[in-house]
Amino acid sequence: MPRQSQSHSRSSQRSQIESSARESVDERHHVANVVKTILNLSINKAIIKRSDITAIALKSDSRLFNRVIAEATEILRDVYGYELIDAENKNQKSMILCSLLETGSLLELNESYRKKYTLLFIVLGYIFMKGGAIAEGLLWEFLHTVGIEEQGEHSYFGDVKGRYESFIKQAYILRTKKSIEGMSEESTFVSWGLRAKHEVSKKNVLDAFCKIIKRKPTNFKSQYIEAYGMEGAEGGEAMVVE
Amino acid sequence: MTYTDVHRAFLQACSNHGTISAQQAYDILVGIYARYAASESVPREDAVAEVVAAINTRIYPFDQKIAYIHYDPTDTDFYVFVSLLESPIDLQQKEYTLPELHYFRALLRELTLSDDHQLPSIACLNLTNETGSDGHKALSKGRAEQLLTEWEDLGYFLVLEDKCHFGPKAIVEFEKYLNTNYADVITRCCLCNVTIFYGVRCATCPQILHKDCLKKYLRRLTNCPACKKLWSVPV
Repeated sequence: MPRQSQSHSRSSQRSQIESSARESVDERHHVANVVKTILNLSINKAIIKRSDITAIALKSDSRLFNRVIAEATEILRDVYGYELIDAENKNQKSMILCSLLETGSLLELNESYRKKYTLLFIVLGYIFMKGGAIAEGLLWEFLHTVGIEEQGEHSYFGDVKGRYESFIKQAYILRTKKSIEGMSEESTFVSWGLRAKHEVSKKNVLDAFCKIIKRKPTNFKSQYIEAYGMEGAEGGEAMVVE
Repeated sequence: MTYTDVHRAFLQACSNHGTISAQQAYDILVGIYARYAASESVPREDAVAEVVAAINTRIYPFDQKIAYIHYDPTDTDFYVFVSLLESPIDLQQKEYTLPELHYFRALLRELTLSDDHQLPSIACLNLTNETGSDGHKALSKGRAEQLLTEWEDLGYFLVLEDKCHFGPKAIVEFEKYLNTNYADVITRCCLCNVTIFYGVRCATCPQILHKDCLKKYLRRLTNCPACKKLWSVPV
């Protein structure tokens, strides 16, 4: 078979190098688009759909998504300290962007975040102390006892019902319906949502709640174990919050 | 400087706040060092600038930046977290409805066109009248008030003595947009050539100058850099 001339094979080598360089520039471009889109869609901590990311960042090319998502995820973790968590949401592939870093001091939050988080802590704290899942009605009864009403404006928290609904949209709180024996309608239950499980420290919630009710965290054995792990839990008595 | 959780935590704090004063930024950094770099000593004041510079190199590929701006109306320095392309308010976001975005743009427009770029709060609320269109109901005054507070928190506006001003974040993010669309109304400080909204006005000519630029200039000379007449306004 006749050999190709030297210059011909060199120029085809060059165009191969050029096209793979172009491909990696394109890929970097796609990765950057995916990162930017995920950040933009997550401004409100909403649950984001994979289909939205593909449509906005990748002109709906879903094979491209699989190629670039690993690198995009790594960048979000390495540069921003965020983790992309898979969420199951009505059969749609979705995810949420969670912070890997605990928000230690409230200084890092602006005033409106501070109010939101305080309310969130109270709600998540009560759910946690009551074993992890409670009927939604009981939650509002508890909030009423500490002066937080479902309707109307609260002097510090503002539109409580609105904030509560946004916590559900942001996956801090999970609301589910279950049929209960003896009840004709389904009952609504609330528990910690996916974002709370990743972002909120059970230790902080337990400590904060116990400070409010003036009891020791070690008094609540199952919560203490859940929050601190088994090694920390020897010697505590079990008690239940009334 | 290696890139650590100190940088990531500071970046998240900046993007959560939108706008922070230089003092707040330092306080936040001290808190972050206590959590993530407890073995190191308390950071120096200029550590903030170093951390910001390191962060900016990493977020630049994603069209983001933490910008540093001296804000004349309050004579304070601010760090502002911005998207370098169009403002996130415009882009793909599901945060604000069409009438709300319309309201934001109307505020920008009226602030640009008004004398000294200030609007009394009442006038700001009255702008809701033009937000109804194409089947969308106009914004309620109550919702407008909520939005103004939200946007002020983020740094887009600042209300001083009941007058609404451009906030540090609006100045950084919309400088190009306003220069392009309102070129005839926007001026530059003739000493530093940067777009200027707020500053000191000459008594004899229409030139406005940044306070800091003017102070430096008046150390050596005593006349207005634009009209050359003797400078009479106290700085």
